[in-house]
Amino acid sequence: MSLVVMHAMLLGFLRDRGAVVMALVLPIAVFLVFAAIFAGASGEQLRVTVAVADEVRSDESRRLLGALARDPALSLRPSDPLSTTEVRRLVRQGSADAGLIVRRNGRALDDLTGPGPAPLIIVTDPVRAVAARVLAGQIQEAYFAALSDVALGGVAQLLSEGFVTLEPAQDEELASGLEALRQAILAAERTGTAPVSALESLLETETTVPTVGRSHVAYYAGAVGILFLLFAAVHGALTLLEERDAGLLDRLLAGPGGMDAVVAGKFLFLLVQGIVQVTVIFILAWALYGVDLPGHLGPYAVVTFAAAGAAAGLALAITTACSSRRQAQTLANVVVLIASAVGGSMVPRFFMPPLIQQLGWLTPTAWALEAYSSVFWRGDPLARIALPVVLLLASGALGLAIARHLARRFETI
Amino acid sequence: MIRAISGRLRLDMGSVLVAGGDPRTDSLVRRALGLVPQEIALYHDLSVRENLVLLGQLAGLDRRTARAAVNPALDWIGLADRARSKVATLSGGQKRRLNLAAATLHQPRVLLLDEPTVGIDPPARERIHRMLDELRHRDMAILLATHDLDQAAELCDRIGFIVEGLIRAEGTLDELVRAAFGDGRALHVTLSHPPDLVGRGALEALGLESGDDARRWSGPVTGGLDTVPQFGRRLSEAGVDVVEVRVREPGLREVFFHIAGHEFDA
Repeated sequence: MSLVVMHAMLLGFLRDRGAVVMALVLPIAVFLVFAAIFAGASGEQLRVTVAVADEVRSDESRRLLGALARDPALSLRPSDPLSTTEVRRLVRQGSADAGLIVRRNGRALDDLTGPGPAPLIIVTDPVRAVAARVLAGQIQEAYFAALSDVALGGVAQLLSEGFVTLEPAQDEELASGLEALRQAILAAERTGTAPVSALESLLETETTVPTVGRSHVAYYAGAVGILFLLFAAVHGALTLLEERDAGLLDRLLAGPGGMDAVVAGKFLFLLVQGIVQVTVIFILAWALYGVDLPGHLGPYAVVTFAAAGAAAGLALAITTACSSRRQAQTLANVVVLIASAVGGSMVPRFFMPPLIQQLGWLTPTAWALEAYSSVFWRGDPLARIALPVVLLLASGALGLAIARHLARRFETI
Repeated sequence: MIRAISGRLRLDMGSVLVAGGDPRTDSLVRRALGLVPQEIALYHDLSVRENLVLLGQLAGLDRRTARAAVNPALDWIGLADRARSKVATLSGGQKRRLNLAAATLHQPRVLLLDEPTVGIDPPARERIHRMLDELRHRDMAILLATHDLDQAAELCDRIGFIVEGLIRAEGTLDELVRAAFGDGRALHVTLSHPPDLVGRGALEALGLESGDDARRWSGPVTGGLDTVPQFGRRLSEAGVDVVEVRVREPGLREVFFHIAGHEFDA
């Protein structure tokens, strides 16, 4: 009997072209937009726009700004000189993510110890505080790599003033060495070869999961999939109230199957619909972005089954808790939007404040995304995704049980 | 009442037995029921054939039996040429016929109909009446809930009146008429203004009753049409100003208003 209810829903769904588009094509479109927008959200394609004012126009300041201009993480604008007022205005307007001023009355760039204010000012807007941090890091990197003669000169001066006194001959040797280094760096810049640095970088980057491919796309495939899974489940579950209002529920309940068959049939349809919906998105992510779906098919199927079950249970519970379609739609939209926002469907949870991150664990969205991350980012085996999968399955079963209990209100009057 | 019989109503007292069992708890009993709700309770986005197959299955038929029962049902309701059409594209009368067929596909022993002809034109109503008349001969008990007294008089073997939740009378049309009016006819008297105490006494002495409108009185009249002039004379003597006196053969409408205690204006 449940299969007949499910079949009726399936036929109704397929007849409603708009619903098919909403359920299958819209998520694909949103996924493509999200994948494009957030392609750089992990920092891979981060590009901070910086407004620059050089009040000093010294040899060193030009070299520093030249090194920053070559940094792929930064975009210096515009190329013609700006005043400090203009820099501050551009940052305030949001035309630049951060500003950099080489100040006139500051210390020289090779003077690490002398009196006077710092030679560089970073102008920042609280809304884009992270841009200032990125800029600060890139300046330090450029200073010690591209201007290593200047940096070393400053360090030598610091040493001679505070720790050891150099003999005149040693001073000359140091000056000559620094000059040789400077010429080598300038020559390298002219020829476009790798900059010669006396200071090797402290950092070497190692990627924890080097072979999984475009993991941010896998993340957004899951994120958009869960978002639409919840929306589609809610709209599917709303047919229960529509059928009640249309008198169809009276007819179904007068039959031998009763409410058990109706609720179970709707749950089955929503489960299948959800699995198909998420799978379409992941197939697209595999075809267009190389997300390794075939390589993780088993764990993927388990997570998707559990997530679709959780969405179906939640949607039916919400629907049966309400007494009118309007109530159910409003409540469901609020619940889905909050769960999606806090659970990480829109922005990855690691961008969120710690409290919100913790609250996110209360949503099936977070469990599903954690499970998908385990599968596609870390390539974990089934055993490692047991907890989120069990939570999803349990919430689906709980939602179904609650829906069955609440549906008694429609069963007898 | 329909919901109580189909097992959807929690009963404060009493019990409902259909085909020897309780429809609330026994799915076999519900399988013996067919329900035609007042609403067009169909899947509007699905075709006529799909509706019949699915609703037949939901009523307890297996898929093969349901499919086999569809063609005869389509012929019966005159929608064989619209089998592939979406329900949403059908006329009101066609939807009503399909609504009825969907409840009878599984050959229920008891068919419950709740206002099956609401909102359709007279020809479509006539067609439904013919279909219901055919169902009477299919070994199927039919319970029709309606506010249409002409429909009840035309279709029903036995008629019950429920007034304010109580069955106030039940029987064949003849039995009901005889119980209310004896062998007599119904007398309707319209006055120019409400009667005073003397006039009211005279009206009541003649066995007439009034509803909300004290200018309109009605009741059974025995003794044939010859007695009517005497009525007029006695009322005139009591000072009652009569505008109109009508005598008619009582029907279900007269029975209903007689039972309900309301005045009516035929």
